Amino acid sequence: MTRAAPGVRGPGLARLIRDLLPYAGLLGVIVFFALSSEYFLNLRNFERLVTDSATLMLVAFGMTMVILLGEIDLSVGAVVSLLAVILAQIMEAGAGWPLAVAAVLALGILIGALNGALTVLGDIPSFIVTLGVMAIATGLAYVFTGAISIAIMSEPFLVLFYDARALGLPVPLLIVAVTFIACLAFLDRTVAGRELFAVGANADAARLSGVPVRRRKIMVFAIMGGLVAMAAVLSAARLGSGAPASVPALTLDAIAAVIIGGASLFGGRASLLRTLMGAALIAVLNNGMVLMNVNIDLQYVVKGMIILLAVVLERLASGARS
Amino acid sequence: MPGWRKVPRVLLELSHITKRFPGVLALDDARFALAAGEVHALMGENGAGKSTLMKIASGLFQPDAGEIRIDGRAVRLSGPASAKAAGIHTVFQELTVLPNRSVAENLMIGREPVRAGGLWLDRGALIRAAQRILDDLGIPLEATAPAGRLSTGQRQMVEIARASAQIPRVLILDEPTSSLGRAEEELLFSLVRRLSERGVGIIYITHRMSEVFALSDRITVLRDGRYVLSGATADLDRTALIRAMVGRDVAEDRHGTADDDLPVVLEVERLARGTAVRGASLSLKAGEVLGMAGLMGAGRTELARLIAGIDRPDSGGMTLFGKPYAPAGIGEALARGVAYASEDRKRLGLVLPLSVADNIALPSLRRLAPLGVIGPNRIAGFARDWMERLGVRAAGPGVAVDTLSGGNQQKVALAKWLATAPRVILLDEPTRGVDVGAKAEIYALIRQLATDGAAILAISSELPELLQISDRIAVMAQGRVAGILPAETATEESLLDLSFTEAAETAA
Ligand SMILES: Nc1ncnc2c1ncn2[C@@H]1O[C@H](COP(=O)(O)OP(=O)(O)OP(=O)(O)O)[C@@H](O)[C@H]1O
Ligand SMILES: [Mg+2]
Repeated sequence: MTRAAPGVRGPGLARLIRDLLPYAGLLGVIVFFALSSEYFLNLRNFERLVTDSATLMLVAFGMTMVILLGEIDLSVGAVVSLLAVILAQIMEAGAGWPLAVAAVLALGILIGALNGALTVLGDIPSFIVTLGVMAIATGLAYVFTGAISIAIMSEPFLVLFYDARALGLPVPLLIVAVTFIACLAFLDRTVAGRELFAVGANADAARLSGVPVRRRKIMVFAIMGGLVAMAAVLSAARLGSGAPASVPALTLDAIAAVIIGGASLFGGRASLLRTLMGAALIAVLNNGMVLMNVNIDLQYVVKGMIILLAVVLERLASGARS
Repeated sequence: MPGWRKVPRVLLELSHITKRFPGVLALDDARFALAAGEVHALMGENGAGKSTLMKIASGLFQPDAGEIRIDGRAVRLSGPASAKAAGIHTVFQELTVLPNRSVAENLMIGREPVRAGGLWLDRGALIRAAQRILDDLGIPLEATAPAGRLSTGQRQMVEIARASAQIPRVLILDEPTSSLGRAEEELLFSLVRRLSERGVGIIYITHRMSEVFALSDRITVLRDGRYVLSGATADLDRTALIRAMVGRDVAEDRHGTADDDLPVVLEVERLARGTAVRGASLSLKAGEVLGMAGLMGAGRTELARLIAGIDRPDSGGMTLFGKPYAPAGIGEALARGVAYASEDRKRLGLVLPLSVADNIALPSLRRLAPLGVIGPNRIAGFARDWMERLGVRAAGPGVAVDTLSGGNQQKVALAKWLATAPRVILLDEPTRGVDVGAKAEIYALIRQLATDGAAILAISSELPELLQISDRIAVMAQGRVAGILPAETATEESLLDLSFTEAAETAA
C-alpha cells in the first residue's frame, strides 16, 4: 500500500520516519517512563495498563476502518458514554446483564449504521454527521442520568468484564485480541475488506468496478458502532458505573492512534497493526503521565502535539498531492 | 521544412543521464539534445524512460548521474521552480487541473492579478487575462467555466494553455494527444507549430506514428532507458522507427472480416439518455469486433456507459442473449458478463495507490470468492497470471500501480476487465498511451478474445487503429449510430464523412 505520487522528490526519509513512528515512539515512551517512574515497570501496572486501554483499542480498530474509507467518526466518545449509561439503567431496572449487553450492542450497531446512512444517503461529510450525533449522544446521556453516574450492582457483570481471567489472561485483553484478529482477517481476507481499500483510495473507480460503495460505507460505520458498544461494556465494567462523560478523551485518543499508525486522512491507506502500536503508545502515555502526576490539561497538550507531528509526517511522506 | 534549420542552436542538452528506482533502472546513460524552434519527438516503448527523462529535465527528479546543460552551460535543476525559471515548462501525462476551480483560476494559478498590494484578487482582470490567453491560442473554452465539467481533452488544453502562457523556451508535452479528439488534436498541432515558429523548443512524447511524421523535425528513440538513435524525421521511416523502438519488426495488417452469420449477443435498440445519446441502435455479435468511431461528444462513451449499467437510459431497450437486459447497476452488468474498460484510467479505471494485484482482482473478487473469503496469495496469483498474459512490466503484483509507466498502467486497466471473463467487452480507447509493440499485443489479444467467442465493442479515436482491429465499424454522430461499415472496405475518409452526419439525417 505504498503511495508514490509521481514527481515527488525525496519523500523517502519522511516515509521512513512515518513508518517507524509507531514502533519507535512506543519504545521511546516505554523507556522514558521506565526511567522516570519507579511504578511504571512492574507487572501489576502493566496489567492495569492493558485492561485500561481495552476501550481505546476497540474504538481505534473501528476508527482505522472508518479512516481507511476517508471518513471520520467524532461521535465515538459520546456514544460510549451514552451506551454505558443505558447499560447501567437497563440493569438498574432489573434486567439481567446478558440482556443489557445484547441491547447495548444492538443499539451501538444501529447508531453506527445511522451515522453511515446519513453520511452516504444524505451526502453529508461524516465529520458533520458524527459531530451532530456526538452532541445528541452527550445531551441524551445527561438527560437520562440527570448528570450523575449510575452504579452497576451486577457482580457477575463486573467480574466477567473486568476481573475475570481466561486462558490466564484478563478478559478485556482477550476480547481485544479476538477483535483484533477478527478485524485483521476481515480487512485482509474478505472481499468486502479488500474492497474498502479501493473505496477509500478512489471511490469512483471502485464503483465502476462493481463495488457497492455506499453499502460498504454504511457497513463500516455499523461495525464501528458495534465496537463502540463493546467498548462501552468494558468501560462500564471498569468504572463500575455508567456516567455521562465517562471517557472524555476517547475520540481524540482513537483518532490519534490511527494517525500515529501512519494512516492517510484522505483514505485508502491504513493498517490495523500500526494502529495497534499507535493505540499502545497512547495508552502508555496516558498511564505514564498519570503515574508522574502530569496535569490532565497538559496531557492534552502532549497528545495534541503528537497528533500534529504524525499528520505532518504523513503529508511529507506521501508527498504534495495535486 | 523538417530536417534543416540554419545552424540549430542547442537549447537543452541532457547527457549520460542515469536514474534508478527501487528494482528498476529507468534511465541508463541516456542522452537528448533539443534545438531552439524545433519540434522534437521522444519515442520509445512503455517504460522506456521517456517520462522519467522529462521529469529530470523539469526538475522533478534528480538524476543519479549525468549532466544537464542549458545554452551550453551546466545547470542543476533542483526543483520544478528552478526548471521553470530556466524557461522549461511541462505538461505531464498525469493532469493537474484543479476540478473545483474555474478555467481562469487554473490558467492563472500562481500569477493571479492582484490589487492593493496583493491583498485583493482582481477577479475581472483574472477572467479577462485568462480569456485573452485562450483566444490567442485559439482554444474554444470559456474562462469562467468550472474545470470539473471539462472533458479530459479540454483539461489537457487548459494545461497546455497554462504552460504556453508563461512564455516558455522549452515546452515538454508528455502524450498530449492521448485524450484529445480529432478537432482538438488539430488545434494542438497548430498551437505547437505556432510556438515553434516563435523559437520555442518543443519536446513531444507520443505513441502515435502519424503525429510524429506530421509534426516533428527530429526524433530521438529510447529503449530500456538507453539512447538508441536520434535523427531528422525526414530521414526516418515508419518501419525503421518501429524497429528502433521495439528492437524487432511489428506486423501491422488488417484482420477484419464482417460475417453476417455470427450469432447476435447484444441488441441495443434506440437507446437514449439526455442530449448525449439520442436513439442509438446497434448489435454486437459473438466472435466479432465492432469498432466505434465518432467525434468527441458524439456520445460513444455515454452509450457504452448505458450498456455497462453505469447510467440508466431514459428510453430504449437492450436484449442480451435473447433475454431483456436493463442493468440496474454495474454489479448486475458484470454478473451477466458485460464489462466496460473506461477511457479515463486515472480517475475511473484504476485505484492508483493500490497494488497491481488489488487492481486486477477488484472486479473479479466476488466471482473468485463466492463465500466472500479470499487470501492475499490467491489474489496475487490471479493477478500474476493476467500480468503475464498482457505483458505488464512491473517488479511484481505487489507494487503500486502509480509507479508503473503510462502504458503499463493501461495494460493493468485492461487486465482487470478481461479477468472478469466477460462475454461482452466494451473497450473505450483501449490503447491510449500504449506503445506500438504493446499495441500489437493488445490488438492480438482483442482478436483472441473475439475468436474465443466474446462480443467486443472497441471505441477509438484513432481511425487506423479501428481499421486494423475491427470487423465492422459503427460511426456515431450526435448521439446516434450514423452508419455501420465493413472494415474491409471502410477508409479513413468514409469514416470521417459519416462522423459529420447531421442529426436530421440519422433520425430515420
Ligand atoms: N516513481 C517511480 N517509482 C518507481 N519506479 C518508477 C517511477 N517512475 C517510473 N518508474 C519506472 O521507470 C521506468 C520508466 O518509466 P517511464 O514512466 O519513464 O516510462 P515511459 O517511457 O514514459 O513509458 P510510457 O510510454 O508508458 O509512458 C518504468 O519501468 C517505471 O515503472
Ligand atoms: Mg510516460
